[in-house]
Amino acid sequence: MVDAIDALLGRRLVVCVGPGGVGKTTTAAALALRAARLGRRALVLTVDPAKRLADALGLEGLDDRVRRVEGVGPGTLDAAMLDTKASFDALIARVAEGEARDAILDNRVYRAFSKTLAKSHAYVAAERLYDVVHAGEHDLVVLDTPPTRSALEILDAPSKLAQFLDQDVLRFFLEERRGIAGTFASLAGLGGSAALELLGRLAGKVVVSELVAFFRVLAHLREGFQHRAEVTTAMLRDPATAYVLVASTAPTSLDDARHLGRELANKHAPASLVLFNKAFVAEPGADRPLDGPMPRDVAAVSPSVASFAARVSALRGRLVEEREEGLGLARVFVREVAPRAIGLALAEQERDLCTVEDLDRLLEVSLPLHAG
Amino acid sequence: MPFDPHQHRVQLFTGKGGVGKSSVVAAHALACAGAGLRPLVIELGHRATMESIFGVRSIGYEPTDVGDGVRACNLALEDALIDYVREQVKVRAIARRVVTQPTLRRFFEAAPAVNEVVALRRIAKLADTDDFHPILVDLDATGHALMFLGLADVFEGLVGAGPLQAILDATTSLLRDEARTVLHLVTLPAELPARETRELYTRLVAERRVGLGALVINRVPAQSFDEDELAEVARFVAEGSDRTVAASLADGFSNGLARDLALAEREVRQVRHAHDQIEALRRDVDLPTVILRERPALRREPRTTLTQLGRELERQLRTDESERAAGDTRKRDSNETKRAGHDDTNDVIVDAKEPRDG
Repeated sequence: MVDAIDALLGRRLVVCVGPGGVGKTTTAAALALRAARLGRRALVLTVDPAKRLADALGLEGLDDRVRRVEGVGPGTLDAAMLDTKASFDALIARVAEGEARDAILDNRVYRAFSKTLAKSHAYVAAERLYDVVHAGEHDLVVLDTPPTRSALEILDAPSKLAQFLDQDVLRFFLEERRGIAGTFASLAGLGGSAALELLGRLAGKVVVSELVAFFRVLAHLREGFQHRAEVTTAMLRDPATAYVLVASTAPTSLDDARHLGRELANKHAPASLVLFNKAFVAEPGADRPLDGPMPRDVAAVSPSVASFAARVSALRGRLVEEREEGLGLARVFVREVAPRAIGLALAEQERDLCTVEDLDRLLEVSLPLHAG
Repeated sequence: MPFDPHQHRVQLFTGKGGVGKSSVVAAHALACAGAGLRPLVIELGHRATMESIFGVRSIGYEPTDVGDGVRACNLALEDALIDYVREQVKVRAIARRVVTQPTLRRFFEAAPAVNEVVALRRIAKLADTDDFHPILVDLDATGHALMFLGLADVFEGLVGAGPLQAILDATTSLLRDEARTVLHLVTLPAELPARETRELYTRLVAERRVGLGALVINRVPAQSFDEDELAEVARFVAEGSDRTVAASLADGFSNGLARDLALAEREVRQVRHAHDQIEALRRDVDLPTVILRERPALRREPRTTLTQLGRELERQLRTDESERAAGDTRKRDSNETKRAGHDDTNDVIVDAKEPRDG
């Protein structure tokens, strides 16, 4: 079944989405590694990897530079971390120069904006994506997505950023005041001045004046932003981009994954692959009962061994039951949420994966999820 | 000193995604309702987790009865924003118009922290009435919780004296009021969530933005084998051929036993790993600690299981450390005053083994 994964890794961009805590970052790294093993030049863009995973990938600092993971062949594996604040300022530095740049970086609306992590993760991811794809140094980019309420913010982020600087919004704020402010009747049409008046009421005058200043500077950059947003959006919707939905069968996690899977489909970016992490225990003996019945005299010779055997039998029964229940849920999930996707259940790894070899193992043992 | 799980009006819960935060919130709510209180569960945004946990069709902006004395609501952006704008402009039709006006709507969606401000305002409003107690807020993952607590900083120097400042002041003082508001940390005995929780705790203690409640370590695996026992079984397998019962230890059984051993060893390693994480959490996080056992029945019988979990949560919070300490040698060794679930009821995990690293 790993062939199915390998086919996917022939794409240009693979985006991993999924609820928090399902092993999305690890999976993204394992996919990129596998591509490198197949001879491709792969890059994984990760969000907040676990310390040991970061160590395995050679990501020591907190900066967002691209680093080569040593000893991976025949292709190459690079990794980079998304550092929100640094990347956001870097983005401004890229699109603006001199006074305009300083004016933005000092603007209080911008500072508030770059401080609100929840959203800026997605913006930064989208921006970073633009850069790495356009640099052309990699055959495949695997993008890990931030654990937001809607992991799909990544799909909307580029257009949202452009939307924030949308011509209508700008016109709204920068339009000459026409002196009709204050009467709520004018809100029916809600022209710029009325809007400013209203915003002043809702948020305070300082916000409004800072906003106007913010928009005034950014107005010049709008086209650059919008161009990048269009390119990134197109890239995210391109048929050459594959979406991997990473999930687990824990109840609330499954609900979140269902929501994400449906959202992906609605946004015309359906998942090509659904991976259920930690879906079963692949340890030898996890599902195979004793080959023969327990001899009677074992109990006589060693009661503790007999008691042990009975408890392992109970454990095995529980593992089999949990596995069947989990796989059943996973199969229904794939059928209902992503009927065209390939569904795979991955074996539970005993520990957090902390070396490149561990990452190789993640995709090794899997079960298809397409039985009825 | 025991921690009173009913005292604080506003109880916030945070933790990494996937740690079972929503289940802990729901469990606590069921326990509060069972004690005759009027708990309200608040979810942020359209995620529908509580709908699925409580098995109800739809949870909206206004608190809805979800059964067993628990009410719940979901503070989605649009409704919370309309509510706020309406308060400012007084006319609902205009408020709706403002919020749904396409250009402004696009602006609100993209603008920073609008969600959080209007949600926090609503929470403060609900906390001011006596209709609900306690109010249990299922916050997003860690980063989001920090932003929630630091909203005033996001807008520092930006909002002047307007109504937004009034909201920020009101919500900041609610969050800082240690008699009314408390933040609980939910985590798992696994490397990643435990590390995040330890880091978060350090940061919260340094920032002093909110009073801290309990540390809840969720889904702790039960231990059913101990290492001495496994050693004995291993000996038994190895010596099998020399035994008088050799005939009965046919290859089938012997191989089976070897596989049994591998499986049991795996479980022991997992439990040990979990306990190492718990140790590290206890060392670094100085809060009343609740240890909740893994409950496979949660999937099949959510409500019954959550009710049990909630009772267990309250029991552990209320139990005085001194009453428990007798059965817990390691606690006596350290000078810590944390309370934890080291009980000998079968509901709670007992660290049967001393830590190996010595």
